[in-house]
Amino acid sequence: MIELDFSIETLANARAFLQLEMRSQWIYRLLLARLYYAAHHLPRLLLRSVGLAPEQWRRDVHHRVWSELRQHYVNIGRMNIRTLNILERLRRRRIRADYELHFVIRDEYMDEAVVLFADYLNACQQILGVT
Amino acid sequence: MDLEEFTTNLVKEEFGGYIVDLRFSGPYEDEDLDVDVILKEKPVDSEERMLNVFRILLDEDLDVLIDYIVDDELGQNC
Repeated sequence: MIELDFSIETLANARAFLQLEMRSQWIYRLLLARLYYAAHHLPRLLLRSVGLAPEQWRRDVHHRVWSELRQHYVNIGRMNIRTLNILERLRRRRIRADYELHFVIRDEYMDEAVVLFADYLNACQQILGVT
Repeated sequence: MDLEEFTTNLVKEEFGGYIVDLRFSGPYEDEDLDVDVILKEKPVDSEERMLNVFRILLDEDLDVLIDYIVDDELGQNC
């Protein structure tokens, strides 16, 4: 499962950057983008396992991932809605990091994103049965 | 009712007196709207309140991205 490996690697690298005090706005913007896309790949894996083909979607892909996750996982109790909400919050932070250059990303904001991602990854691992 | 008004009402219903400001931006890509909710402090049940807002936006099939920031964490961004 390349998506899962990528997410685990992304989390490990994000933590390493922060533990090594590689804290700059440029690094934060890079990490927030990587965390979101790593998070985005996991539901694509989950949705393929229920017969969907997200790689064929061309429009509103990010929103459609939420909608399908809600229908195929949240509504039947396989995923907590909090997990889905984390994906939304990470997406907002990714968009902010990439577009709102005037916004100064504070340490707490970056650290919280890593904690959110770790919670999200853990929830997805439980769904996949690979904890 | 437009999307900003709808979102404002929804957030006010959940967070009421905790709100300092609501800031709208975007859309930058294919989302409908980006929103920062600036709070005086986070209520103890802030996560449940966030999820209530999130559920309604999902029910309405709206792609509104909301972030919640405590006022004193904004620092240089004010």
